[in-house]
Amino acid sequence: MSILEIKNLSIEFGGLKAVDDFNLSLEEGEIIAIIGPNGAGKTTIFNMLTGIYAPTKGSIELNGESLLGLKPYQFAQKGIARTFQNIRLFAASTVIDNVKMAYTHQCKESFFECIFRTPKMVEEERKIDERAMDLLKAFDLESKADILAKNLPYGAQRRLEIVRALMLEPKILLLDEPVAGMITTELDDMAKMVRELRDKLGLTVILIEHHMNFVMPIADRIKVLNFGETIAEGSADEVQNNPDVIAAYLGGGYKNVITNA
Amino acid sequence: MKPLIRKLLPILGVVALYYLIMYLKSIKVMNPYHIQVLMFAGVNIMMTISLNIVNGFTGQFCIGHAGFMSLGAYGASIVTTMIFGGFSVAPNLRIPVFLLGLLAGGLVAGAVGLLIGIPTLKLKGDYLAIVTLAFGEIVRATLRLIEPIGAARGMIGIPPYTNFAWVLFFVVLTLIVARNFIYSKHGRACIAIRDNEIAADAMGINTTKYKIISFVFAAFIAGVAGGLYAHIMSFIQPDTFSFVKSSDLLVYLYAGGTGSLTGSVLGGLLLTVLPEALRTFGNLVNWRIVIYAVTLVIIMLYRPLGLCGGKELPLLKINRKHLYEKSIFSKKSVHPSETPN
Repeated sequence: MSILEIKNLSIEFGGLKAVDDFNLSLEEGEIIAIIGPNGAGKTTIFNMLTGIYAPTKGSIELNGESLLGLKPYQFAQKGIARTFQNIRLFAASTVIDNVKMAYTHQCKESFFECIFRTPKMVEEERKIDERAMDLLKAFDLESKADILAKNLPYGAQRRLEIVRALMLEPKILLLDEPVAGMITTELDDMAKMVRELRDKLGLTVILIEHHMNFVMPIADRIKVLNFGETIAEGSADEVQNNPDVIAAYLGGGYKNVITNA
Repeated sequence: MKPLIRKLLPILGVVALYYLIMYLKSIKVMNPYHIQVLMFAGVNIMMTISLNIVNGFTGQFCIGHAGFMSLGAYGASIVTTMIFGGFSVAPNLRIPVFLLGLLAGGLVAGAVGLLIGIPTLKLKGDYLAIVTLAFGEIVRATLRLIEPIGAARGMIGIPPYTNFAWVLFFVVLTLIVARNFIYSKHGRACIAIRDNEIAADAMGINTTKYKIISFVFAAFIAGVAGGLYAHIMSFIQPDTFSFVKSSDLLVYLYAGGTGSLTGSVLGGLLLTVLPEALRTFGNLVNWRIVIYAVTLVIIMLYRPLGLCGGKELPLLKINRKHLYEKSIFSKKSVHPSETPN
């Protein structure tokens, strides 16, 4: 059975169809990439999958349970975690606090235990701290645990966003342009990391990316979007040789534009 | 042994401070007026910490905080003066009645905080500010209309239960409780909302819930502070808690530095004592408000984040390392580096 089932997902802003009939059936442990030119509606899909936008039409089901109508924080609590295209860390907090903040929902500290700092609460804090530290270690950030997130170098901030999302114990991880602005060596590291997330943690990953040499080797399937419509779908090779995809990326001349319209 | 010392040292410090002040009073270096200024400073520190929880740590903007203070002041005074009859209370019952009054004050303010927090905390920034401003004025205007509690004339005959020891006790208690709140799941959620609300939402934090928790918690503290204030003055009237009072609190907070408990203590203490201290300099008396204002301008020019913006005394922090220290109460907890593999 598929873990995430998206059917006919559409959203309109006024008269503009930003996403039209997007379908996706995701198996556990798959890595899916959504690619497409700027403005194709990729991030809009992520925003619908995390509850920020309510779709005009269509359904989103996680393990058979409909998520429509839930608030963004409920999407996260159900197990869909995300990173952002433009990094959104808790900049004025330390690296480890950033990670611990994502554990708010699972954390079992009551208000009165907190303000009186009972031994039970301290013990719980210690467990969260160790959890966060383990994750930071796995992503080479443990030495930076106590510095402010805003003082991290760019690549480390991107990694921290992923660590923070993992602290939610998600079933599905959405990565919005994880390698934007990174250099080639960092690109390879990130590719290795995404693959490890799947292999070691059994995560299902959906990623949006422009860097083809990042996407092609790691994605099991690729969906190509243009103007909100899915124009191609399949393995890296299939997609690369699809004439519509080439037209969308390189421009298909005026004839194509007219026939598409 | 070390954590024991670390925990006892601040308590010893507070006790020492109390006896120092009492000694200074007994040798007539400090007179009752000085003590009263210090008590007001204590109340203002509590109010500033309360405001800091909402404005500094949760990133909301409340500018009607005096409203909660007046609710607390009236709530507490109604219990001690109207229900238990003020001065006619038996001497051995005075402390329980006083504490009950403070609790009532806190609860009234907290309940009203919950009531107005639920519909308003969805608003952001300036819009929330305007609503809280209106809230403060509504409380004041309403209290002016209620005849049994003296309406605009105010309430008199409140027994002066509050003494310096009580103020000191409640300031320290507020500091401990506020610090514990900030270094917990709740505090982290509030700070996450302040730093980036969209990301907080995406990380499974129910932002509205934690905003309301911080608002109600702050309102409760403000209510207790109001109760203490009423029992210093023996007299309260609605106009004491006007927008001017709220803006004073904002000044204490921002001059001290938001997001810092140390800053709230410093801001509340310095800016309460300074205008009073300037009274003692003969010719300067008339200029004291000008000097006060200029001091503020200078503070903000040289310390744009306030005196302690974002910084904290180690005493008011909970260091991550402390989590791994042997607790006084339980035998568990060792640092991961010390665990045998």
